[in-house]
Amino acid sequence: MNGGFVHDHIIIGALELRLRMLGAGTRRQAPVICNGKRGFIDLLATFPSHTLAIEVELSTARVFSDLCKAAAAGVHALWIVVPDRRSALAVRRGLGRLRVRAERDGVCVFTLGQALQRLANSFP
Amino acid sequence: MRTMPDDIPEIVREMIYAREHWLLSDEAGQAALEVLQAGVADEFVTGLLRDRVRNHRIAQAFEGPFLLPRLSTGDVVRGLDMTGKPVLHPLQYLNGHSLTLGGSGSGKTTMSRFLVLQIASRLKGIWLFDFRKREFAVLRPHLKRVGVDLIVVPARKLRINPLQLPHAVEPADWAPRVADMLVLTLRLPERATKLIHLAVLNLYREFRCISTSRRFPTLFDLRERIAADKEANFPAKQAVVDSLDPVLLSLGPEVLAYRRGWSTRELSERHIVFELAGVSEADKDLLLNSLVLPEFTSRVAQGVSNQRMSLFICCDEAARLVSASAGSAGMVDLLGLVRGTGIGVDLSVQSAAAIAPGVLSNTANKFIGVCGSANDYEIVGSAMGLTGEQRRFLALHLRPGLFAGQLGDGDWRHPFLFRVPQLDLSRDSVTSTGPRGALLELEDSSDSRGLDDLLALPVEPASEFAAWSADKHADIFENPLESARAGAAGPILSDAEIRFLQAVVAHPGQPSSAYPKQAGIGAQQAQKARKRLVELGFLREHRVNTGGRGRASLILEPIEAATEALKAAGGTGGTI
Repeated sequence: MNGGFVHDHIIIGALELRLRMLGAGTRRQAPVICNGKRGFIDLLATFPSHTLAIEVELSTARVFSDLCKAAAAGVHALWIVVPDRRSALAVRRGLGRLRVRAERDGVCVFTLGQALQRLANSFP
Repeated sequence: MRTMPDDIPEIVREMIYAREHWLLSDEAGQAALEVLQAGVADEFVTGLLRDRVRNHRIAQAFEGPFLLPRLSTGDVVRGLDMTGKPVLHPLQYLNGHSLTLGGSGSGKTTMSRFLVLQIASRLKGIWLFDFRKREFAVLRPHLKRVGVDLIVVPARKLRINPLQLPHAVEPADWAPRVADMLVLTLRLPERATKLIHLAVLNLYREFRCISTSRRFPTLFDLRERIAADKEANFPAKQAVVDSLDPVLLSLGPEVLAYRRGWSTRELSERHIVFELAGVSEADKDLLLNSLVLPEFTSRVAQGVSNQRMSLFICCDEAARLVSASAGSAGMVDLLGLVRGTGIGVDLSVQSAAAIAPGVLSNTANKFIGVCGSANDYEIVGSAMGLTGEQRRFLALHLRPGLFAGQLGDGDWRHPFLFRVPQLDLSRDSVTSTGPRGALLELEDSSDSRGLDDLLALPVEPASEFAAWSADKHADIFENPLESARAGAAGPILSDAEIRFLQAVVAHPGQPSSAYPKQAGIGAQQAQKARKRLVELGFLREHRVNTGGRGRASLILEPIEAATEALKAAGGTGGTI
């Protein structure tokens, strides 16, 4: 674990707990080889027919790297979870600059509350 | 108005009238004047002159004994004259300070608000002082529309240190000023000036202060130093301690116990309403002087002179500050000092009876509205140079919103009448228009009246005074548990703070609203405890949107120091 309190305990902790309650297998800091370098996905959730990568970001600096790691891991969806709406807006803008069409390309940017709500909606 | 001999021709009379009333100051008028003086005027030229004179006489009939204002250029609308034309003057005229006199309901506050709404976006900083009521906070949503974030600060949210050296001011220069300020605001005997001066100088030496330092002695240090000085003149020492104690207890460490408080240099670049209505008069004087004096002194020390106005200070209901009898000499002196340093001061009072002569002399612009006493018209009328007829006119004809004014700058300095338009400052006038209005409403409700910006300014609390009491230390530590705490190296925490800290350490990462119940304390007490624990470095706050909707939660993270401190206290939290 190399994140701070909010990164590791608040966001990943809450999501991991909820995913486990939904029956998903979870792995924190899942290793992946991306562009010849070793990287780690913050939280990799595996459902029977679906794989979800969750990256927690406090800034827009590593959004491109997140996309690369998710593509390398071959996941069905990438969720970028941020602490607040302002960060969410900034990350969405960052994705726009990278020409990523969020929902269509399977990339979602959520705050923690929105991510938990999406899980509740998708797996009632 | 001078009288003219009867044998002067009509056209010459009108020409003289026109010149006296500045009716021929434009290009056409000047040309007409030359033609008339050369004696070659035709009917067109005399008609032009007669039309102007006739129109002016008709308009003047509604002005009574006052001249129609010749103030048609500038970027500030002072109001409307009796013909409905705007009365304008340049913003820089406010640099000379203004005094407004008017009874309750005369429209003083409306005039100040009208002015602030116009000039706020053009100035780097505005300080609005509400001494009695809460009049200026209502401007916040309106100024937001023009991109000005008006911060509303209650007196008890301030974080200042009157002994903090202003920018570019040397300790040796600031010590006598702060000594004078304390003597004036606390109404101490003359002898106390020397005592405070010496104590402050010694404290600066001990703290090795220079103007760029980050740690300064506080008023608490000063009080303790003077109380412990056995060689000091006893009556002076007793007076200082007796006067400082109520102020220190009333404002408390939350306001005054900062080694480094908010710097006035940083505050002078913000638009702030200081709401001082809830504190005692001595506290108001101290807070006002602690904010204004450092900024003035700093500008003087930097050699700022005759520069454009960058800070506008407006004091509503400032009677006590400009009174000759109260301990307000500091403010009166300051008014004279700061003309030309880029600070404009606007004072409004209800009665002229007790105004110090220095205030009348040092305020270039004067305005008078409806007053309760004929004596007020006489005093201000005399300061404005009004004739007896004009004073009688004011006493009989002024009504709410109608003022007589006189500007101290510019070519035209006659007294004039003007009306201040009524302002609709209800929230509906801002927020009723579509999504933008809804957004403004949301923004306004989501922040704490803009205080976050100020609370983010760097400060260094003097935590050793966090639980300061005016009693002797021996009295404070009567409780053995307290004594044990005081023996420890760290700061003293209250029971509520310890319980709150224990709750956070036991269940980290929850929203702040979850802890009062766990700690078994009230919400307000918990809020205070949280703020103090954050300041002391035991907790860290994070804003995280943990819910789908609504405001971000304040998540609390216990820092290692908190866990260690609680362990050291034997699990009960006791000594920290």
